[in-house]
Amino acid sequence: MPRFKNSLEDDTKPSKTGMSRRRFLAIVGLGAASTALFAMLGSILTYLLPNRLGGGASYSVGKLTDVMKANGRVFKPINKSVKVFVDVDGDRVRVQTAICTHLGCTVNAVNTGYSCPCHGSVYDRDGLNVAGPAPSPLLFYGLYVSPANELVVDTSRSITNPDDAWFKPS
Amino acid sequence: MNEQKKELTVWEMIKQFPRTFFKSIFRHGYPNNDVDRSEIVFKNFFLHFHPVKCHKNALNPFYTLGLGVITTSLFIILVLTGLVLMFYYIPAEDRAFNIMKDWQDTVPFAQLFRNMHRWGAHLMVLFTMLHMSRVFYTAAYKGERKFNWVIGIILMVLTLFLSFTGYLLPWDQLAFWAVTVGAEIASYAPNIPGLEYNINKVMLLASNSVGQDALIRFYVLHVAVLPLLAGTLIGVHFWRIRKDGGLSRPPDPVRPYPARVFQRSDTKEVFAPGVPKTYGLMELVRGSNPQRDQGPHDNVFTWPHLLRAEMVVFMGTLALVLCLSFFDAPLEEPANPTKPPNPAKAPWYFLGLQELVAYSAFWGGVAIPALMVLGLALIPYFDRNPRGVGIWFHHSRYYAIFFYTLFMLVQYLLIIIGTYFRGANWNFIWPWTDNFATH
Repeated sequence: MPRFKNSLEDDTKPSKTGMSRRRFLAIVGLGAASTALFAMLGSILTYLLPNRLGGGASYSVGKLTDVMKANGRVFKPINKSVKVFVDVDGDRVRVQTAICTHLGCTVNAVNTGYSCPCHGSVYDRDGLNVAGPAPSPLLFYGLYVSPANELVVDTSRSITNPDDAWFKPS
Repeated sequence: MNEQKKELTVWEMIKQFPRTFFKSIFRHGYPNNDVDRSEIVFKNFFLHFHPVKCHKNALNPFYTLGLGVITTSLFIILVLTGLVLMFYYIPAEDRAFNIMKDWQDTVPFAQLFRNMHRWGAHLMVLFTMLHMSRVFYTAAYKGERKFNWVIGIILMVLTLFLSFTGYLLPWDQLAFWAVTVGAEIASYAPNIPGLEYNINKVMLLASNSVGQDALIRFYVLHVAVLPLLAGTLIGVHFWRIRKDGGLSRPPDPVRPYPARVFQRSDTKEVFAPGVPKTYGLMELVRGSNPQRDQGPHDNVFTWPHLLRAEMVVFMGTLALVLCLSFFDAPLEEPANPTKPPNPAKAPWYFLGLQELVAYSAFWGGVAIPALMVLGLALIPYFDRNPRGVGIWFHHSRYYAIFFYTLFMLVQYLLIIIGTYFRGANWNFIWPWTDNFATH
C-alpha cells in the first residue's frame, strides 16, 4: 500500500455501511478542523463583544428648587448618551429625551416643537413625530425626588403619553 | 566551449566589486535587449506580477483611461501618507483632536501630509467609481472575468469603509456625529432575536454610546484590518487579470486558419494573428535559434512600455494630489456630544446616502445600499449578452448601458441634492440662498 494517496475513494474493503474507513476518517478530520476554526472565530467575536455596557439608569437633573425656577423648555445635557429637555409649567415638570429617534442626533427646540439638524425629522411641542424620517415620538422619562432634594430622571422608565409625563413634586 | 575560470587577484576583485555587487542584486543585465527585458520582469519581486509581455491594447490610454492604475496609485499614496500620520496620532477621545490640531500647526509638512491623505481618500472614492464605470462600459466583466468584478465591488465597499473609519479619527464634530449616525444606521440592520441590546451597534461601538471604546475600534479597523483586506484583494484583483490573459480586449480582427503560422512583414512575429491564445511566454532563454526575439502577436515588452505608462500615471496622480493639497483638509470644531452642527453633513460621497436616510433609516440606510451592492455584484451573472468585450459602448448593449447610466445618474443626482439643496434641519434650499461648507 502506498504511503500517500491521491484519492479518498480507493479503499479496497468498503464496510457494510457503504462508507470506507478512509473516507470516514477524512470527514472526522475535516469536522475537527472546522470545529477548531469556528471555535476560534467565535472566541474572537466574544472577545470583541463588550461584557459591560456603560451607563446607569438614573441621573440627577439638578436641585429641585433650581429646576423649578425655570419656565418652559430647557435643554439639559446630562452625559454623552442622556440629553434631555426639562419642561417646567408652574408647579409641574416633565423630562423628555432630546435624542432623535431616527439616527441619534440631538434635536433643537424650535417654536413649533423640535427639529433634527441631521436628517430633518420634525416633532411637535409634545414630541410627537409629525414629519421627516423619525419613526417614533420623543419619549418622556419617569421622575422622582431624591433624599438630597434633587430631581432625578429614571431612564429605565419611559412614558409615551405626554399628559402622563407631568410630575408634581410636593 | 572550454572556458577556464581564471583566479582573480585581490586587486581585480576590488576593481570588480561594484559590478559583482550589482550583479548579485539584479542577476541580469541592463534591459537594452529582449532577454534582459524579460529577465528584469520575472526575476524582480516587485515587477513579477506583470507579464513579461503585454498586449498593445492594454497600453492604449483611450481604452483604460488609466483609471485602475490611478486608483492603485492613490492607494499607495494613502498607505504612505497614512503611515506618516500614524507617527503622531493617538486614538484617545480627549486627546485626538488636540493632537491633530497641534501637530498640523507645528510639525513641518504635517498639514501637507494630512491634506494629501484626505484629498487622496476623496479621489480614491471618485476613481473607484470611474474605474467601475469604465469596466462596465467596455464589458470587461464578461466570461472568465465575472468574479473579478465581484472582487472590484468588494474593494469599492472597502474603500467607502476606509473613508468612513478615516474621517472620524480626528474626533471633530464631523467625526463624532458620523459615528453616532453610522452606529444608529447599523442598529436598523437585523438584530439577533432575544437580545436586549442591538448587537450590530454594540459590536461597532463596544458600548451603548459613542466614546473611547468606539474610537479605538475604528482606529484598528482603519489602520490595520481594512487596509490589509483591501491590499490583499487588490493583489487578487491583479492576479486574476494575469490569469485571464491580461486586460480585456476585443477579439483580434483577423481570423486566419488557426494552424497557419506565418511571418508578418512589419514585425518579427511568427505566431499567427487571430489564433486563440493557448500559449504564454514563460521565459526567454539565451540561444541562437531562428525564433529568437520573437513573441506572440501584437504583444510588446512590459519593460519599458507598460512600466513607463504606469510610472507616468503614478506621477500624474501624485501631482494631482499635491496640487489639491494646496487646499487645507477641513478640521471642524472639537467633538461636542451635546449638539451636532446644523446641518450636519457627511462628506460628498455619503451625501446621496444621507439624502436616502432622510426618507427612511431602514430603507435608505440598510436595505437600499445592500440591494445596490448586491445588484452591482450580480451584474456579470445576469448579463446574458456575450458581445462587446473590450469595446466602449458596444451597440448591442444599449439596454445594459442605459440602465447602468441611469443608476449612476440617480446616485449623482442624490449627491447633488444632498450637497447643494439641503440646508439647516435638512430642509430644501436653493444653492444660491445658502452656502454650506462641504467636506
